[in-house]
Amino acid sequence: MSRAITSILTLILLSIIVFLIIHITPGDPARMMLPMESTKEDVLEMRKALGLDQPLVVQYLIWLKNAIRLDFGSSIRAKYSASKIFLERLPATLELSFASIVLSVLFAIPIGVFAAIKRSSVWDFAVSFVSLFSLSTPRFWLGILFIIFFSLWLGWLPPYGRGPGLFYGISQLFIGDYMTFYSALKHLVLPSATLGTWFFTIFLKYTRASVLEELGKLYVKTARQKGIGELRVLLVHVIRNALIPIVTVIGLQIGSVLGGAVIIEIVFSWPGVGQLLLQALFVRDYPLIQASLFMVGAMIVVIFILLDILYVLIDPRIIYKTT
Amino acid sequence: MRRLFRLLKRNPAPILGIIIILTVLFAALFGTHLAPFDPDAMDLSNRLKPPFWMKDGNWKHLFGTDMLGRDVFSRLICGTRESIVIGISSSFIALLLGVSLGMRSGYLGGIFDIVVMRLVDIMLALPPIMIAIVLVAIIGPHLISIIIAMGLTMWSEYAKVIRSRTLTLKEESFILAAKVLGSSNLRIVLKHVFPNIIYIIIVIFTLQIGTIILWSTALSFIGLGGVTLSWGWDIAAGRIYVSTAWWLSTIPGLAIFVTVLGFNLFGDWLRDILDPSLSKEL
Repeated sequence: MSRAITSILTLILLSIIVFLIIHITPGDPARMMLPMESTKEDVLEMRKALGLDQPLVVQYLIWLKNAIRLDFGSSIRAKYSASKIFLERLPATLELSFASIVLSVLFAIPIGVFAAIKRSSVWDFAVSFVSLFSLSTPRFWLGILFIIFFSLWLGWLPPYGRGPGLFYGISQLFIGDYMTFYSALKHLVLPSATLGTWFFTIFLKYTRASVLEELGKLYVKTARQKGIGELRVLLVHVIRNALIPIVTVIGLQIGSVLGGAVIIEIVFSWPGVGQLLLQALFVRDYPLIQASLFMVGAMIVVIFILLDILYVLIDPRIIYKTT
Repeated sequence: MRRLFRLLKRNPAPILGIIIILTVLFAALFGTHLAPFDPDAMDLSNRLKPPFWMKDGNWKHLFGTDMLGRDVFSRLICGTRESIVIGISSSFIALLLGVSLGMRSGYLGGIFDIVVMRLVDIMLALPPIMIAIVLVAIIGPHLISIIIAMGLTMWSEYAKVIRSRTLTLKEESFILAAKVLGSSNLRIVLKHVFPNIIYIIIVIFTLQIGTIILWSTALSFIGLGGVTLSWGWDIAAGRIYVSTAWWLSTIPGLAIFVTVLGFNLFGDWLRDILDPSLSKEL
């Protein structure tokens, strides 16, 4: 609940900042949009047309009203709706982010549980070692290393691009076309593995700590004394309770995942929102910049609300704890 | 002192960290004078030469040359300056913002506390790169944009931890005693609260430098840095040649890795000896 409120506040603050970008930037927006030979009257007319002669607060409210309807104007470069351009590219970024989180969780849980059980053994130290190394590695560099190793030297996986995309690939499965899906997966492996390393390491640490904490708890000792087998104790009780932090960790790290996605998209030429935003930034395509920033913020809000719902589903006691 | 040596003998890892940090700082300060070549000196007859251990390499250009004939090794040494400058300045900005807001928040409470904590939650939710993009959109791709952006990203970590420590300290008997004796709030904060949290500040400062270097090199990789003599930028520039001159993108990345590793090793050790309870929060 608290996070949902924070998210909405975030969005409002973000909307104000995004709106102000054009107005803080040195230079007159009207003059920037007109050719060089324009006269003073032309500039004044442009200002009126853009609504720039109104007081700032009014301008903001008009902008906000449009923003909620996802109308940010047309991209200066592409000449059609900025939000449409953003939404076209969004699935690619979502695919990448989602895949990297799923991959990370799939690997981190077993390894984390294992490290917790074999505490202070060689395996545990190896895991800590690898974690330290992983947290010191720049992801974009790791991506390039992956490309060099797996694409250029081994030739197993494609170095760039998204291929047909996972959504299309899955839809093709239904008509019996496996190759498209396979191609989509092959393109997805390296970028999501690269993006996932940070999340994987953090998640690994949480899982290990969480399982360790659970193992020390009273109910585990009780269950052991009751004679329930070790494995059953582990699976049924310890892991389920240790899963609750998953949602927490995702919430804490989602910013890092989305931010990292922008960079990984550049490394792998992945046609997502990150690439879009950067290109817009370099050509000063303000409608597109505003649309992208605002909609990414909105997306984070939606994700937080979903996570809060998930939280309640996993552990209904949460409702009682917070009220 | 002797206890320190005994600790280090048992776990020598931080020594490596200290060596790395000192080397990197040295390179950042004196690199431009000690580098064998001018990092911007182009030599188009000598393009894309490989490092010394490879077939075509020579000892003159230890790590080879790039697409404009510039010496990779010299660029590596001089690129240290940008990373260290950003790392330390941003960490300082984060420190100033985070500690002052965190202490005030924890000590005085009230509306200020609520507002600051909401702000912290917002900053922690946003991707660091968004803040950098907003700043670059306004100011343009300069070094200062990155420094401010990183500072704004990292201050919230200080604020949260310092606030909770201040909250605990507030109830301590010596603070209450000082209050009874009539000390002003400012005096209490400076003389009593601050010395107790300085260890945490040092730990967070060291560990944050690593994270800042990771993000800032990523930002210069995608071109938001505005500086062309940097590790991130060199990695980006070398990408087109990745199939032939793979060392161009690989070696600067190794420098980043080693530097961040050094700060992380040292920072982790500092945390373990100064305040182990931090590992739960960090």
